[in-house]
Amino acid sequence: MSHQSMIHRTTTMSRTYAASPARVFAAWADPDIRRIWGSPSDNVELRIDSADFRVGGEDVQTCMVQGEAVASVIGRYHDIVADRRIIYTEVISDPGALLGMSLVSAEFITAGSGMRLELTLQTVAVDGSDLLEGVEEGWSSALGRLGGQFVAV
Amino acid sequence: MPNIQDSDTHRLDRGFQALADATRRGVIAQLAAGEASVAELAAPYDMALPSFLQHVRVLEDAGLITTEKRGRVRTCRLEAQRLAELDGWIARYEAAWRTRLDRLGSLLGRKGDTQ
Repeated sequence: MSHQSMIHRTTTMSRTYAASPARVFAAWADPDIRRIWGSPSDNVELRIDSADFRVGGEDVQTCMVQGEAVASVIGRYHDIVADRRIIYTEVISDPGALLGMSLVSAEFITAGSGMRLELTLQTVAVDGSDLLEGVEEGWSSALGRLGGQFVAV
Repeated sequence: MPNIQDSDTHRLDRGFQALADATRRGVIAQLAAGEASVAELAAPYDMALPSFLQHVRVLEDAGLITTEKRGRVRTCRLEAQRLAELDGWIARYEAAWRTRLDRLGSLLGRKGDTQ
């Protein structure tokens, strides 16, 4: 599969939780807890193939739909400050082909009696990022025309 | 700092709403082939012009197209960059993270917060 296009995007998300930063941090650090909340959608079951929560450590997860592997996620931790922040990369592949990857920065901030989670995703999607139904052809030619003018968000 | 819940969700919602209509998706598909006048875009549809203009306005408000009046002709063009924001993989990846964070919230709630 050739990678003809790349799309980049940075997004931030924020959530306030009625829990201490330490508890929320633990929910990220502990693979048994992460398996419960970390699935990308309700019909996907997350299988943890390996977990190594430390700087330089690698996590391997497989997204399963009805017993079938639909995507693999390989995480590598680059910075961990207990109860305060986690920076890691997530590489997502369709078995065999790279779909995209993201630099995930999570910050755990005390806020009132609870905490605020600040999440930043710096993502690149390669090719195969599937297109809106019915515009495939036009879209690629539009991209072609835009050429160097096209700057991803 | 105010707690802004997912600041770009609203923006994305508007984009997705704009695309949740066959006529408007058809207009996007036509514009993907190049810019076109409102009259050209309306031609394939059996629809009164004011109704068609409503669709054009929704797409314009969502930032998916821009329009420009040249003389008596209003020309529309696709905002490819905006469309890319709503397209495919990254949008789904980010949506997955929103689901995760919400699920994390209910998980934390369920267990009770002992601080």
